[in-house]
Amino acid sequence: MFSFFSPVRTVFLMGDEALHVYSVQGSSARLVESVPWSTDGFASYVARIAAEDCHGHPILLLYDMTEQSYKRDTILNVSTLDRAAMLQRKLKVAFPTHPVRGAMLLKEKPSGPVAAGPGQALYILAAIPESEALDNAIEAARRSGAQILGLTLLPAESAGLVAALVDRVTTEKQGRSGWAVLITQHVGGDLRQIVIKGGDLALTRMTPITIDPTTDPQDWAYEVKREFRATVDYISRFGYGDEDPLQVIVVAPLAAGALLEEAIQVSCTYTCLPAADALQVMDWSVPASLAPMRGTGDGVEADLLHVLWAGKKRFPAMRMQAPVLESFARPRLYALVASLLLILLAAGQVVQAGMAYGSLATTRGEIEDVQTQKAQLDIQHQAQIKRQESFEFDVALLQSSVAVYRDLESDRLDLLPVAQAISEALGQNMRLASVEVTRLGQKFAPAPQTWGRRPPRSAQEDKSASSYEMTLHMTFPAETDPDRGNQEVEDLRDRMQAALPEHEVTVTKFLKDYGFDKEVVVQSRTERGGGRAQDFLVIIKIVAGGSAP
Amino acid sequence: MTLRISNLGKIVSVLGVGRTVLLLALVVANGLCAAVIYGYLGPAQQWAQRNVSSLRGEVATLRTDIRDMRTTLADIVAQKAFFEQIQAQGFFTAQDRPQAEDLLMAVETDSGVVAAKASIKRAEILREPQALKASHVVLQSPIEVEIEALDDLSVWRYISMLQSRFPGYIQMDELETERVGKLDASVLRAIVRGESPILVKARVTFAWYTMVPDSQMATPERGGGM
Repeated sequence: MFSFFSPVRTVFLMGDEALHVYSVQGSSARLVESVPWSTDGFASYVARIAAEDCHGHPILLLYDMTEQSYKRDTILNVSTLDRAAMLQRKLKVAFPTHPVRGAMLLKEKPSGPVAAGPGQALYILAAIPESEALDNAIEAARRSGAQILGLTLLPAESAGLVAALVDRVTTEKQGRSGWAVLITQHVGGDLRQIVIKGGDLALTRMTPITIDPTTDPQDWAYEVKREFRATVDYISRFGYGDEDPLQVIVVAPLAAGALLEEAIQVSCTYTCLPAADALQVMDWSVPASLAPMRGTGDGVEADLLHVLWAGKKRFPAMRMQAPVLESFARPRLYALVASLLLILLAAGQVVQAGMAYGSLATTRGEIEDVQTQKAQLDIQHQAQIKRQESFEFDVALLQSSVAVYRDLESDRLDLLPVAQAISEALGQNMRLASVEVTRLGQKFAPAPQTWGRRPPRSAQEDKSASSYEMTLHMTFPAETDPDRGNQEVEDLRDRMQAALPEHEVTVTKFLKDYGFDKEVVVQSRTERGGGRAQDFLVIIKIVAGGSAP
Repeated sequence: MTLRISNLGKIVSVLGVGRTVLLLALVVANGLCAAVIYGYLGPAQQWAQRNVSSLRGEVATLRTDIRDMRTTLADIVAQKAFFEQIQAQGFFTAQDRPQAEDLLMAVETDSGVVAAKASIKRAEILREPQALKASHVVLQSPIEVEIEALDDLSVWRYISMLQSRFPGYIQMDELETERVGKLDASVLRAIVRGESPILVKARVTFAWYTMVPDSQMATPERGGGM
């Protein structure tokens, strides 16, 4: 089925007497079997040949029977859909009684009055009549189950063959753009003449000839000359003149061809090629049936040339629309397309499944790795738990009590070093009258309202908790010189500050100080005890870890 | 059913048996592929992804737990000596009053102060969060001491001895000292006579802290005491 994309074909060459089944593969073709139309069970028999002997390869129906109708017509250059509809309409008008019709765009540009219209294209329209033979061939194709490439006309397909042969046998440029005639004789004896002009099919004729050119070349040449003369008469009506260059290629034995060349008496470039040589000219394989004739100049049947030319094409040049044929050819084409899409989809899904499986396998591998890690960590975790459980004391109590104790210690008022420093600063001659120590911050004491669940203290709170203010009172005798006394107090403050660098030592009351920011103690003479002078009072404040309130 | 069979027959007659079988096989193959992908591989992958994510989360949690436990164990080992020390200091006692009285008497004698009048107030139960983690509460008892001494040094000695000998933790909150006399000839004569003249008076406020199991407290009420 997938040979649709490879040059492997089965060609049903439909002649007047029989259907010739060819197998085309690459550049070679072989006649599988010729089946007369009158064969009993024709369709089944041919279908079996196509399915078995030709391995069900795609079938091209190549129509080469006598009754073929052609017309040339111009079509407006419109959109593809409109053009198809216009062509169908033209075909229906041109061939109302022929249900099998087709059209082919020509390279030639329209001439005459119609050419004045905008965007005209020249088409060749063709039709073939309904016949039992055509029905049988189509039925055989249906029963074969093979893909159908289409139904086409041999002259329409082989117009390109004529141009290709002309290109290969002559170097005259005018031959490629001028007139050319290919004269071939088929297996049944019919003489097929295909005339092209500028590469387009101009005329085709098929006439029966019963003379064998190998055994009776003289009579064959005479008959062919007569038919060729008629063809020239026909093309003269289409614009051919004696002065126009004409290429004539005849596929026939060399001897018969030479006689024909002498006989035709028309100014032309004449080339005669035996069938095997014609295949070689086209770089195609010569089948075993023609191999013995290579180099002998013999060989007349040119069917292989036409079959190979048509069979090697990817698509036929003129696809004839036959309703019966289309009823199964199109579904098979759609089925082919659907199959290809399904294969692509399946391939994509297989790739996706492969990737998904790979991803799943990777993830499963990760799961195994992580499970292994987890198992190892579980062991470590259990070991830690056992180690913790192995302690002979209450771990929670340890952690809690240490935390509480450290919290308490952070509030400690460590006054003994301070007292030592003050004592040293005082020396032997100075004494304190009194000392007061007051904590400045909130000590370790959760508010009762919170049931002891106080929030964690900030660093500032911790600092202020251990801060305190120490107030020192000193007395100097009344007879002390105030200035000297003040100097001694200043010196004392300096000694204290030096001994307590992390504290703030200030004198809030000197012996004698008249500043507005100083404290003054005034005592009445009566209270002084009968005129006795009152001692001087000095107040020194030491603040640790914060400022005094 | 008859209609369907006839339709299938028609399709087969048009397309051929091989082509029809191939088409059906391709449809079935695609269906199977789709079923495998979306019915098995997709859900299995999702499950596996969820599983691996969950396992990774568990592993991360375990790692954190193990790291925390190692840190905790290291802390415990480091704190064990300190714990034993405060345990030996009687930090986990229920503030036994008779024992406290004996200690106060001993400190008064040993410190050299002339007299010390100490009063231990009713204990207050502090539900400290840290202590509650170990199902313990903190007992806080205010202690007020009024000291009479010959000099400052005896007062400071008294404070130092009290802080070092008392079970649990003693914290000094307030201190007031006052020199009430001068060292003159009469005082010296009194000392010679064997008397104890008072030159310094002090008032010190302490807070006494210990930790006891919460279960030992009869009623966990605010301000509950012993």
